Amino acid sequence: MDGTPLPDDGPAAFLARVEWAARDGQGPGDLLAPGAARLLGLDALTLSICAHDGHLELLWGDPESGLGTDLETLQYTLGDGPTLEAARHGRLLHEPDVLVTDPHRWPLFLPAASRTPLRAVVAQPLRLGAALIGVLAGYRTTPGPLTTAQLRGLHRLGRRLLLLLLHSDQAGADEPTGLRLYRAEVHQATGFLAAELGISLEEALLRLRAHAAAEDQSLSDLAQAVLTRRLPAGTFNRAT
Amino acid sequence: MSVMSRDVLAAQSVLDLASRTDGFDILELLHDLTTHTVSLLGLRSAGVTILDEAGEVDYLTASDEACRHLEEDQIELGEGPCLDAARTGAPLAPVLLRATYPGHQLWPRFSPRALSAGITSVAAVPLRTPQHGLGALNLMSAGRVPTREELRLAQVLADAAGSSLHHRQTLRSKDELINQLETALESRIVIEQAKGVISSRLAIDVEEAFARLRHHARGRQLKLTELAAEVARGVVPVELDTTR
Repeated sequence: MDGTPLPDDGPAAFLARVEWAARDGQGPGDLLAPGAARLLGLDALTLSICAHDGHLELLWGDPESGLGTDLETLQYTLGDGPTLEAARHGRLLHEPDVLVTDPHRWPLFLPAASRTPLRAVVAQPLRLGAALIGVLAGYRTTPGPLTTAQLRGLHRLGRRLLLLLLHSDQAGADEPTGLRLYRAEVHQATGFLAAELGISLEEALLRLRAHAAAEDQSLSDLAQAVLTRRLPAGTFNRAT
Repeated sequence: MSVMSRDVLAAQSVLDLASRTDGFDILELLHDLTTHTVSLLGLRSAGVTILDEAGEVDYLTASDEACRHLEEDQIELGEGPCLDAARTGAPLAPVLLRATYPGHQLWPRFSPRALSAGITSVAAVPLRTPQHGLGALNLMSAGRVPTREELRLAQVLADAAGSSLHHRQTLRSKDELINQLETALESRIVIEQAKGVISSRLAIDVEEAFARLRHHARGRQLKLTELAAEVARGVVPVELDTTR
């Protein structure tokens, strides 16, 4: 992630660049240049994604190391904390002062975090319907709530990152080129396959995408074949 | 003037769309707008498209799967009446789609797809609040073209829904209203996932799966999106299985 530092032209220009990158089919690393955290009024920003086994993995941090990435590592090691809570509940989490957070909320993370300069945290789950794709987390060394504009900036960045993450291994040729994600039948087939095989939505989507990529088939066509039972759900048991 | 049964239905539909309770489900409101419009105007389908925060057209809901498919086709093709109507925010008088008719020249790639789905003409009225334009209510007909009076009725229905959106958003900016519609765009995905889950569990098609979901939500006064989120996570209420 050694992109050139962003010129200080504000969050709007930054978000516009992320959007262009999403349209061009670039990966997150191509555009999350250093300085993104500062533009959103934060001291550190991290992006974690949901791995095959359902665990979160740190994908990117701004700055590349230090407070943000340290706090993620801490959470994955200890097993509780804001990023994990946002992932579990699927909702935006915003804690303006961790010094007054209920100690029972994150019994392992809070004592550990008290040895860092952390004061405020915000965590935005990146979701595709009820499926969790990743978490965007922001940290600050000064207490106080984020402004509405900052929260909206974070939300918009999250939406664009979601697109980047899902388009990074784009399967088939017929996927929309704009900022839209899959067609509805892909989401329907995700739910269908999850119910058929008794697996999570996240896993069902991963298997659909892997199958489409391996067979060089469009996701929409594959989804139709699944929904109409032309392609037995059992086919996807071999996919991983 | 005598009162016909359709007048009563029209009045009931307007009341239903304009009198939602606090914190109502936006997707549910707009889906009801499409179904009321279809049944009152005798259309094949209806759908709602909006302009998102980036100025791009996206669809929010459709009365049925075929219409949803055509809306997604238009977004992929980058042409079609629902895109034009959402962008201009102006009413679209009925346009015939058959070859040699104007629609075919306007939308050369969309028209053949619509025709093969049985749609012979399209029209649209703006979806708006008293302050802001939001998008369009798109009307798709097979055969008979809606009359001027019917288009006025469609506009009243759309404005009734717009009035509910306005009251939900009183004193708020257009930005926040668009934000709310974008949340609805995101929850649309949950509903699709839930349709898939129900389709698998009950061995029914996705159209029927949605009908069951909608019926269950309405009967128990649950929010459609919240019920769909539960179902998508695998919690399917046994009452959805009407064969039991």
